[in-house]
Amino acid sequence: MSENASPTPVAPARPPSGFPLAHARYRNYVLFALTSVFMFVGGVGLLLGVRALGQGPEAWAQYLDALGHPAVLALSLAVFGFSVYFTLRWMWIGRKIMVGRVGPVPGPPIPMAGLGLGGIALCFATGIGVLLLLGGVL
Amino acid sequence: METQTRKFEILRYRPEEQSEPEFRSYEVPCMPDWVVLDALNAIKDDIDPTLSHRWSCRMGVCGSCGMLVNGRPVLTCAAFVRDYEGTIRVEPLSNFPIVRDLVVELDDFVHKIQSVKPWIVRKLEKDVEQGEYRQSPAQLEEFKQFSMCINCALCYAACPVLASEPDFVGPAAIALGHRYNLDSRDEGNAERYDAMHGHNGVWSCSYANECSQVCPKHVDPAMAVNQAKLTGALQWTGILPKKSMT
Repeated sequence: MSENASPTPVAPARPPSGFPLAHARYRNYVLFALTSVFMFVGGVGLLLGVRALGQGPEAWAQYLDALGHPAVLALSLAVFGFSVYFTLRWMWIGRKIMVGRVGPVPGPPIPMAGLGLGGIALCFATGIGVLLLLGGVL
Repeated sequence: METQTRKFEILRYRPEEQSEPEFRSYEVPCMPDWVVLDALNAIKDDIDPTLSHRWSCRMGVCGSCGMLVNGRPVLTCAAFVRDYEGTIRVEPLSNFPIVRDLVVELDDFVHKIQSVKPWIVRKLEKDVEQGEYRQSPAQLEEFKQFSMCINCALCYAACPVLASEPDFVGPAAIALGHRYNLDSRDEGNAERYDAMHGHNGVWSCSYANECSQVCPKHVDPAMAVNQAKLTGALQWTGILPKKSMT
């Protein structure tokens, strides 16, 4: 091709049809991306709690009072919901990193659904265990 | 066999005449066993010879005829007309610039594939007299699935990450890189590391899983991407060594 040849004229790339909200598959993706915002908010809330804890009993009591405000309760519920959604989706797709093996030889395929559900169950069991431990029940 | 007339809406773009793509409708008499590609060929042969589209093998092997049919990336040689109701809308693959009608520019795709060095990299090549590189069935099984990729680019058209981050290396390239990293004959893991684990590599993937949903060869690129993430993380921490030719 000649060096002076002009580049081929092209129309710009189009996004996937219906992206980002027309199809459930893309809405799920957007929802998954949105979890980061709510998990960030939840993280900030926890950091504020740690700071209040360091500032003494009065600040801690104020922090607990603030948690009882209806708006904060609603936000906490949203954070919890998005965290659960993140866990479910991550474990469902993250299971793909797991390859069943027996020594150096690949073992019989482990049912992927079992891996996903097992991972989700493990996450929730661990979470509940940590909460019970922190709550002094265990 | 009796034909049935079906309506097709096809995205047309002829740069010498149009400033932007637009849909054009065609009524096509279709045989019951036709695939969408047959209908496109019928349009070009009998109705509108100016239509441009890519195709070659007609049997789901070459990967040339990938397009969006009713918004879904498919190989048009494997998409039966009878499986679609009402008007069938055909568009070029999303996430790729359009050269003409249903033909997209694949230069960027090819560069991304090249960037992961999808070939066996060796420190030293054996002489021919020394015989072939031996591999057990179990070693083959490690990567066989990922070697089924036909570079049809459907996974790129389906990927929502590519829609927002065009520089993402993408599912097919990562699946191919992972395929060679898993190959017992290969020693080029370190040479692929930057392309696969750099800023635009596996960590840009955010688990949409659409690539695996649309793959006509059931390669499961999402599995390759996520396995490559784990491998890359273990290599970054030094737990897993990088195979290198240098």
